[in-house]
Amino acid sequence: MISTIVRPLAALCAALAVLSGCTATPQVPVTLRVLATPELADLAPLLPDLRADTGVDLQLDMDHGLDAVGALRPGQYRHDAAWLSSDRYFQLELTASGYTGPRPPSTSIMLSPVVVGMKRATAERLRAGGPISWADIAASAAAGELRFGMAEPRRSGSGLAALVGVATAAADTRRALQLEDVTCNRVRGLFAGHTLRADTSAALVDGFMTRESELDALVAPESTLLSLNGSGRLAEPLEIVYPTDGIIQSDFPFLLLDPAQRDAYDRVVDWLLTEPVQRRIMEQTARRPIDPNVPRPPQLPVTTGNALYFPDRLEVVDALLAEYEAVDTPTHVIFVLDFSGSMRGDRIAALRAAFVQLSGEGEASFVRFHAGERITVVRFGGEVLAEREFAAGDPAELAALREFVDVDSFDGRTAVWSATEHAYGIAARVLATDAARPVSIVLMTDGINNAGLTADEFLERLDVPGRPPVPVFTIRFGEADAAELARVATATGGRSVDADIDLTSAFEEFRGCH
Amino acid sequence: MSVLAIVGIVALIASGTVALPFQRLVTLVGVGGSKIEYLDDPVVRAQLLRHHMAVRLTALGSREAARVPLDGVDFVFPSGQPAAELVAERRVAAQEYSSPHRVFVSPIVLATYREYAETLRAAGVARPQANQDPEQPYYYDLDLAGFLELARAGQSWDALGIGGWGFTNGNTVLAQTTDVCAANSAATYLGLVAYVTRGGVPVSVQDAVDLALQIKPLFREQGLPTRNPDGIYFVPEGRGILPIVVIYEHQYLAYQLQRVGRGGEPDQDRVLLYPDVEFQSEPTMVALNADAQSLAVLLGTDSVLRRRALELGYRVLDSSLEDSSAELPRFLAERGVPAPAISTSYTRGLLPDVPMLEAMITTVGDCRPMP
Repeated sequence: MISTIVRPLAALCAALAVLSGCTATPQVPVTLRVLATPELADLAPLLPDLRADTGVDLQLDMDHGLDAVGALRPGQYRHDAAWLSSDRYFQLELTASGYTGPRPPSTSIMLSPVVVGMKRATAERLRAGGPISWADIAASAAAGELRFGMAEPRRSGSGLAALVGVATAAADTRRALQLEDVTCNRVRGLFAGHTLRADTSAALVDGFMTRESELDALVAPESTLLSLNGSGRLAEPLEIVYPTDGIIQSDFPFLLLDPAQRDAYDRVVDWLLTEPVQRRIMEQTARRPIDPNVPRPPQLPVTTGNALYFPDRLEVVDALLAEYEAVDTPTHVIFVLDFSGSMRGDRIAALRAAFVQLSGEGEASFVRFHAGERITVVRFGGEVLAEREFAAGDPAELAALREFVDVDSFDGRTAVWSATEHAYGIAARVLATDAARPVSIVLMTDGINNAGLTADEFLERLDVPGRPPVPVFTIRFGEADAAELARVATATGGRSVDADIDLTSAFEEFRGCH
Repeated sequence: MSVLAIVGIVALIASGTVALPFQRLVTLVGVGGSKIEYLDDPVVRAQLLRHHMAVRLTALGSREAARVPLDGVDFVFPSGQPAAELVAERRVAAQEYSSPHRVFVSPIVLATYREYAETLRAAGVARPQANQDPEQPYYYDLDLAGFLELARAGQSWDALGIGGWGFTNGNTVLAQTTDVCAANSAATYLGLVAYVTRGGVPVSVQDAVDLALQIKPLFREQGLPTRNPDGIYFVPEGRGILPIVVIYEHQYLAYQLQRVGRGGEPDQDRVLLYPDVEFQSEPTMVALNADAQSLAVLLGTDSVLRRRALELGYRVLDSSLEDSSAELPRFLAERGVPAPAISTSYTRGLLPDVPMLEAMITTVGDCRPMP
């Protein structure tokens, strides 16, 4: 909670009405060097008037091109002031640095939520199931049906706000992201559609115009999207979508870094917060005034969705950035599914429902196979009954996958470990053609192994030279031997769970968290 | 600030109010919490000039203000008692002058929007104050323990039925605050939460730490605290950003008074929740020398300054400077702004003593202890 005193100049002039020409008050000329986000380039036309009215020459240094990580390092100030789209990352760094003094005065000047501009056809398609959420956008991107542009989170405040926003919506914990929420990257599917990257909003807009025909959406500050629509440079204007599961606001704080420049800082802040200047900012940049008394035009609707809570620990944001930047090679998952007779009924129904969800047929969700992933399904009883590989990016193949697990053909016996051994053969073939692809095996069974290899025999083969290190994740239904499943999972570097937890979440964890 | 002060003096000379240059102008340097903004009000500045006083001000969080170096500072003006006590203790330890003066008071409230208050009412944790129109109340009493229970259970606004009012919000039911490490309002709210959680104040520092650990999730789930709560709450977009935020009553009343003063109607969308353990925050000027003490005395006694405090929504003190007077409700009625139910006697024992509150603050906020 740091703010400097705000004295609306208009009120001051009213109080000192005996003075004629209050606005012409002579002021000592000062130059303020400001570390500024490149997003502020659109404020340049105001600066001559600021100088004329207050005597302060505000020099916005935007050459560094940064607006998020590294833009402003605690204690390493080479400017008199700073003006970013958000100082959240800086505030977290300041806390983490062990700094105990008063924080630099910081005053919010204007607001703009980070939202999604969408082509009309895309918006109409996503809206079929109700108001559009980040989950809808993620599901569509994962299916390869939505390609979008978004600025780099490390370089751009709007990119960082968008990343935190979608990760918070995806975690669905209703609170600020905690470290444990970040370890499983639920937003990987969304970023399968992230085909246009840029360091700033301006570069993002240029990129979008170059590739307008192949892109469907742009994640950016509302002000950037409105200005782009107003420019007439697009073939069709983008619809502004405020995702129902929440947004993050940028509040453009103006910070004083050199306490000796306090007087000039106050003059600038006072001026920026006067009603006429606030109105001009709104008209010029499509950002929202921080002055509640300036009426908003229709293109700035009051309802922008709810702000999501921003993490309060630097390590959470850093973990999120690292996870986002981790090389994301699409995975190959081999599902080994028990089709012995005891799976009939509720168990097989639960299994099939999970595959409906994962293949994107259920309610739009962050949890689903995404374009680029490959899936092999093995049905087994006393032996391997059938196996087939599917490409997750192709709706026809996903439909075939659902049919494959819908087959009502069950066997009397249960050869759990021979079937798993078979999956290792599949894994070896996958790795022979693409050594970098992460491969994992998900074994689901409700039975006691009564045919083929024993667990011990299976484990012995793990030590055979040249055997690929593929983790086995096990999901136990009913009577299956929990200790044995856990023993194999642990030995292979996988994990085991019981199917009484949500099956879809179990698959998701196995895919994202190994 | 000094430039503006000189402009003001020129103005007052021009209007013949002040017989300068025959009297010395005293410029006092002050550091404080958000309530120091009162001294920056144009009417207050003008009136101080009539008394040959000007002020140069820096606003920080109250707890931050309590730890700044005091060389060249004439007064510290925290927004509440605990930080004022910290300053006084520092001065006593250094064997230096200090004199605390309460100026006015204002309760800590939860500011929200009608549909959020009504959702809480339907959930049985809020009810209109007795003096309110039950159809369109501006002020509600809040069962703080019941409210916190909703947060502890991880209830979202959607689950509570905010959808019935045409809004959606998947966030957990909790009140957002400023930084508990820095600001008085957050620290005070922490004290209230602790009081209802414990059923009284903690009895030892260890007890306070244990209690704080229980409470910590309620504060941490909001993530990064809000820096500018009253600024954001009153913007038209505020409903989506800060649906429930801990502020001071006077900030809301000042907003309503300003609206009515501009010829408008009171805002019916924004309403206040009063925790059933009502606590008055006492902005306190700690004078560090005799000149600052003159200023502090003036704030409590000058009729123009007291009037201005009312206009800014504060509960001014009665002539004993002990309790809040009945002037505020009268004044609000005069101006056509609905008044909350005001009890003139209130409890001061809700907050634990400073060492225990400090232990709770540093535990909940993971902040540095006072030096």
